[in-house]
Amino acid sequence: MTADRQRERWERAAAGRPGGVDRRTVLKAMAASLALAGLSGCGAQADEKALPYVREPEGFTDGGIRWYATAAVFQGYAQPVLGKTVSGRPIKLEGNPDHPVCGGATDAFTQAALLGLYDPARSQAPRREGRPVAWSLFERFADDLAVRLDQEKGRGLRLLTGPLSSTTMLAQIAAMMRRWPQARWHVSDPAGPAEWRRASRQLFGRVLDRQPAFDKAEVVVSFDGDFLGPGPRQTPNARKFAEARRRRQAGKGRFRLLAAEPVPSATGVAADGRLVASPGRIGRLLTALAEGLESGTLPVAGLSRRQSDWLCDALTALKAAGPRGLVIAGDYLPADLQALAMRVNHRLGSFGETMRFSEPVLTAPPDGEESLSVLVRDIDAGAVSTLMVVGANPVYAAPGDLDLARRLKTVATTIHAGTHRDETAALCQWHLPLQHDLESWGDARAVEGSVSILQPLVRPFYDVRAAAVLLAGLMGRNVSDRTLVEETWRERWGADFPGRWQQALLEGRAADTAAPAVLPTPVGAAPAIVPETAAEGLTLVIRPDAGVWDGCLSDNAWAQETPRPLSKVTWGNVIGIGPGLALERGLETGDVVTVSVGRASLAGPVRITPGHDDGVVSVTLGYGRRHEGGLAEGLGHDAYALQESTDRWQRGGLRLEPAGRREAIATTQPHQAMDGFDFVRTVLPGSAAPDGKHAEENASFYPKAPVQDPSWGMVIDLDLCIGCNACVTACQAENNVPVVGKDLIVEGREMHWLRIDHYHDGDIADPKHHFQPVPCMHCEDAPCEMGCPVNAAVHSADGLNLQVYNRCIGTRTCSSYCPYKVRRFNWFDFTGNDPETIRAMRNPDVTVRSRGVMEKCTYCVQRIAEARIAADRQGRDIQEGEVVAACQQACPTTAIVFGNIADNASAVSKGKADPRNYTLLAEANTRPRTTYLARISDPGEEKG
Amino acid sequence: MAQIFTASADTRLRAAALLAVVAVVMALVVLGGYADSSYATLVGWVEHQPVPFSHQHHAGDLGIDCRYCHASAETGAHAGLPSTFTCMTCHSQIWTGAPMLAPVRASLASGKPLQWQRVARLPDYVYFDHSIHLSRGVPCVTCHGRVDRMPLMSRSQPFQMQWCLDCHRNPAPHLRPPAEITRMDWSNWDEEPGIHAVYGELMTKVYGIEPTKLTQCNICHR
Amino acid sequence: MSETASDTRITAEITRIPLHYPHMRNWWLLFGFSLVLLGCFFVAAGALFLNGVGMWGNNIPVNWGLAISNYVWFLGIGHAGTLISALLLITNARWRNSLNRFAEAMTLFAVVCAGLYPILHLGRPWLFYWMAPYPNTMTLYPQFKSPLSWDFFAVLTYLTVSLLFWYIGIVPDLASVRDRAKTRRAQVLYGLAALGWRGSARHWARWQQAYRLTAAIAVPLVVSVHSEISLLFAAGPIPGWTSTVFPPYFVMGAAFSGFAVVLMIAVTLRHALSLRDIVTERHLDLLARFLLTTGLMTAYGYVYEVFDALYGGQKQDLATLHDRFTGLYAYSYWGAVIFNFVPLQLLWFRGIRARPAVLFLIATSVVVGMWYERYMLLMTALYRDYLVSSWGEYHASLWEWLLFAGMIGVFLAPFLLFVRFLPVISAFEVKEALRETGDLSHA
Repeated sequence: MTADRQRERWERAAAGRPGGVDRRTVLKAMAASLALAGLSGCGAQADEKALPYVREPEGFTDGGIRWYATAAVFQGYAQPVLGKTVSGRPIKLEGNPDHPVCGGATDAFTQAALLGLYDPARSQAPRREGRPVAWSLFERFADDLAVRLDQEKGRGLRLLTGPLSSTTMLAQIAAMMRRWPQARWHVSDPAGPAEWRRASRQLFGRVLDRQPAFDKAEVVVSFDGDFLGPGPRQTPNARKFAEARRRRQAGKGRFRLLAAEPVPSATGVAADGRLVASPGRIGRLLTALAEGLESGTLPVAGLSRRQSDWLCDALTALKAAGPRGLVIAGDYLPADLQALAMRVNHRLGSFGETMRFSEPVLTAPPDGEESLSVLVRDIDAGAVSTLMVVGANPVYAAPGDLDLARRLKTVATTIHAGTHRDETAALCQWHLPLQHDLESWGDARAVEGSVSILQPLVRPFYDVRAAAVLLAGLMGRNVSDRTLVEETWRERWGADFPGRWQQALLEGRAADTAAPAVLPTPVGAAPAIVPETAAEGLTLVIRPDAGVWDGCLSDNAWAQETPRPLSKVTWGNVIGIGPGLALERGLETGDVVTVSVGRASLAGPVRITPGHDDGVVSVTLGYGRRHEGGLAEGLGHDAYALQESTDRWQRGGLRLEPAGRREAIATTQPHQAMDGFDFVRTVLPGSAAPDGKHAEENASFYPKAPVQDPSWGMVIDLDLCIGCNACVTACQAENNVPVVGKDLIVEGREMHWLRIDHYHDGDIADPKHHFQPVPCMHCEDAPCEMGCPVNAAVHSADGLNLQVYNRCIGTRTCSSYCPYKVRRFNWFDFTGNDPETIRAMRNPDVTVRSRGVMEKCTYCVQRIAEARIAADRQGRDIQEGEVVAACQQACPTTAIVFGNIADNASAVSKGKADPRNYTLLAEANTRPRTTYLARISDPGEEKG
Repeated sequence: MAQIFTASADTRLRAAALLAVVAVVMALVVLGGYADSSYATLVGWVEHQPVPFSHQHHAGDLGIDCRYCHASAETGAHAGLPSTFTCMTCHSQIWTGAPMLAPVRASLASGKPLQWQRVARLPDYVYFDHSIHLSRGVPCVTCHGRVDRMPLMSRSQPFQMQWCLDCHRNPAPHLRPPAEITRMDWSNWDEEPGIHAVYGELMTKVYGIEPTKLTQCNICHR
Repeated sequence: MSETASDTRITAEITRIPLHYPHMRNWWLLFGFSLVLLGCFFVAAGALFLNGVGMWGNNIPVNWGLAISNYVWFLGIGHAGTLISALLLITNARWRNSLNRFAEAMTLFAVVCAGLYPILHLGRPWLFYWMAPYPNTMTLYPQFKSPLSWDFFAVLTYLTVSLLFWYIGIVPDLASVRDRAKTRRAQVLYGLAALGWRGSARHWARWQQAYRLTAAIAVPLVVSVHSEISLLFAAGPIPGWTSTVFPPYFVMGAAFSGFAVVLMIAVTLRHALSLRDIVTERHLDLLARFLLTTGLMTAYGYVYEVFDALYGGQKQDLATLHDRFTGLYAYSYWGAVIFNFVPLQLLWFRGIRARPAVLFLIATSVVVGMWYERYMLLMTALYRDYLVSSWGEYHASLWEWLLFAGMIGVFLAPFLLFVRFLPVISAFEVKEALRETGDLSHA
């Protein structure tokens, strides 16, 4: 389809919608504003020119801001967002506050989705055998293909997609299978909870989704279940968890989280009681717990003191909690264990209470979890003549033993559709560029099942198509993605369509479409769990990566550069080992080792991870990408190689040999031991933080600044922070924070305005872990302001510690004097050579910093200014909640509270009044405006 | 031995030294002068525009309100430029064939925007908001000058930081009734100080404007 | 004043150097070498301007590296000039007359190097003039609370005063060179430089006034400049910097390194230009004693720093102290201690003080030691400050070393020109000294 035809498509698309005229004009505006914004011709002289619209959109003010409710799709699930567009350019995604799943929050992946839209490396034109061709060529090919399939009833046709919740596409696939009965649909879901689905079948005879209600829980016992960690459910889980924690902070009940895990995770860090245990031992613990619950006596034989204590604690707590107790088994544990854990929940009576179920949100393919293996089997059997891969990358993201790279070559016709020219694209005859979710019409379901209608924030930049449009095309229909989605829902909603459609578009969620709740009962008896075998050799633990997940984000620079929550590693993955193992093998962080299971092996640098089980070696997926020209090409190692389709997540009998060389690990925090300092403080419930308040009264030669109204300040609750990086990425998106790349990270030149420090405290084999977000402290007696010779670092009346980029000459005194080292310096020109698309993505309200100037967190001064001007225009004060910092906005646990400390009623003032409130480095006596709320230690310990 | 220098050598040396000093001083003066010259600030310089649009004719003679074309001045940060469509609301009726307006018609036909040269332009790191200034009653003429006397648009103020600060430090004398912000001629306003001398002072109190805060960096820089 | 025989001899001996330079070959070799270094400077600085400070090893937390430590080092070296010339002039220590000229010249060029560094290390060097208070369209002025603003003025003042002092001092000798010059060109050039000096009583009177006055102005600088530089560190809240001992500690250190360099030059020139009876063994002995004294005073600073940290007992300060002894940059600490103070102890022995070669080596070791000290003070404080999470490392990049080499060139090249074309020793002052005492040594 040519650009013109695409515009026509848009005209048609827009016409149908209520207020469609408005929509169309916005899209027309795009043409102008993109030109204006630099999508065509940037550079100095470009902004001398002023390009007004040819036709103004109705009520469209120049530089006007508009919000559209839509969703970013991750792992098939809708992550509901509001897309902020300025002059028609999407510049920021924020959680949809009206959506029950996220309540306005987002995770780091969703924030990074924006960059995915503008990614200059996106595939921009159809290709055949690697050479760019016109869509028309493929259309002709598709027509012939359809004819052939009609004759053969679709024999040999295989459709391989990623996990799907899109009603429209599922309907299309169903139609396709009806029309071509012998065709088959497969799903590649490399990081999906396949083991749970097996467990669910075993338990209930069918697949159900778990909808755990952590907010209702009194005790949560997690067996390697990182429910606070990255993944499609992180945001809702974190919100519910935070609710429970806040209940405890308010003195209502004593919510506790106990976690047993081999590799430290976000959940382990947040846990009140964390136990280091190998995967085998976790099975042992869980069975023991189950028995204990049945018989009342714990079989602690063979357990260490620490383990039996932890287990007793868990058992008593669960017994006490009863239906409000909740046992979580990790998605990647063997099905039997997950089933057993569910039976324990059932025994506790927590079904329907803390452990709820719903009909599955993602639709499983015919062969369920075996889908991909079946496809491989059929390929080997020669039963596959045409393979169409849509939005999946099985050549890279699939267990090593499936070896699709080799098998794909044996298929006669191969078609790949994706946003990038990935490994699969390279091996397929056809590659078709897909639209990004944020520039497409579509639909998807959130984790609790409710449907979000995806509406485009912008017209596609390139000559690309939506997946649904492709499928329709294959079926011989040439329609717009909008038409397809509308048809789907007009069919389902019938007469109420116009109303519901509009409601769905406005609220970002179709009313009452949530997956129906189910209250199942386990059938049959728990199968005997194979007792923990005497571990020969080491156990390998494979998990998705906290930064790039299963590899779907590895072309995203923001995702790459966001430090992994615990290791703080960027731009690559490492091989995690415990301190004991390191000692035994004489390994240092950075030593390259070769790990091998069976015939598969990989090499990479080890990282000594405190609190990591010594019988375990951990690796993450998503690296070792091989597609040419990709951002991630050559970074890290490919852990898929070590996966077996039958046994993916933990594998015994692992061998580990030093390779005798070292490799630089790009980490933003080389030192993570707290070294006996009290940066992160922990208090008993109800008691105050040690010397929390007196920071204010410290003597000072400076006169105390009179408190103005408003006076901005921030409180960060370390008891709620789960280190998820949502704030870090949100800040990056909001403030045009540049990406510097691996080499500069190694040199200690990262640019993140907001960093999350990770500390471990105490015995390195089993330490306490802490997260601590560190933005600029906005000190009232700021050393940086005293040090700057040119007045570039100055204080504002409302208490902001300003950095005036255009005045800065780069002496770096401010940073030298900063006790918190939160300032970032433009060592090179980080922004001048940005591609045009990246320029178009920038937030126009934030100055783009040039080479040689210092920058830092501004408390989102642009948002404050916006609110101030609005308030002044209406002759009123700025209201509480009117200014929301980007980090605060994204935080799923609302650990970050920002506001006016001159207003005693404001949330931030209440936070500062909390006895847990303390100042980081009070001894430096700089009177920071950002303070912290101490962590609360395990109420279990109270009892002594 | 033979004289190396003539008797007048000393005098000439002194003269040379004096000249050097004078030269340095002059250089500084010239430099300072340049920074404030209209050559550097572009005050009064006419940019070449695709269409020789006359504010004198439209705003002055015809008396079209500024906000008819610069529609978002009161509501948004940017005053906004009229779309081609706006021009054609009139010019589809009058001067329909005028060769002067050919680019406008072409723009409407092709859908390609007209490329005006910005006249009142601030650096990228300066964030000026029209709406707040207008709502406080800073009239257009204060920054844009007597556009009703400009056949071709030119910059009337230097738009230097000190120029902005002059007003931010002491806004009172620049305030006018918001109802009349588009009024161009305020000469008689100053002629009758009896009534108007107090107006600014009064309004700064009414609006709660604190000049000390108006001069802070984050008012204009973000 | 009527010329005595010895006068003529001395004047002849000193003016001979610029007019018929003795060892042209060696001079050209040295000068060629310094020009190569100068080339390095332009390459390194050019690359820096093109790409940005990122070329260096600096990062967060180590914002300041080689550039700043060298800045302090060069300025320290320059320190001796004023001290010898001004302070000793005021205190009528006649023996200084054989040394002050080249000491002042050395100061001048060292300060130029020092002044260049802070500008080069800026993120946006082309805007360095924003450090100066001048009326501008932003109606903004420097931030006078900042130690950097003080630095700016201190270095500028220091440069101006040193230049004036040096030039005023050299005028009479330029005149005598002019008078002895054979070629017309030399006569005119030296003549112009001599500003028509005729040695009349009125000239001498005016000259005395001017010279003494400048000296009086220069004397406070002996203390102020380096106290000021020290505040660049001491004013920051960083452990290892916030110490009251810094100002005196820095001044002493500066005098220490300064005397070391003067000693090196004295020995070299004395040998190269065979000035044995003008720069006598007594002079070397006196310099050596000064070196020893200032060295011991600097050592006191070291002791005090340790005491300070222990006495204060701040966890952070103790950590920094520990890092100095054993941390990543411990080598710089021990390097400073050993190079500064171990060979120095030899100077207790009169016999050693009489050995130019040995003195030269000791002085060299002190110069190296002081360089380590500056580096140590910067690194050990910055690479590990308050928050464990922001700890980092710094390794100077090749570009920084290239620039350092270049700076040596910036120092050496003009100094060699000075040695070649100007009277390196103040003839008339030596004569005065002689006339009053009859012997240069017993001033």
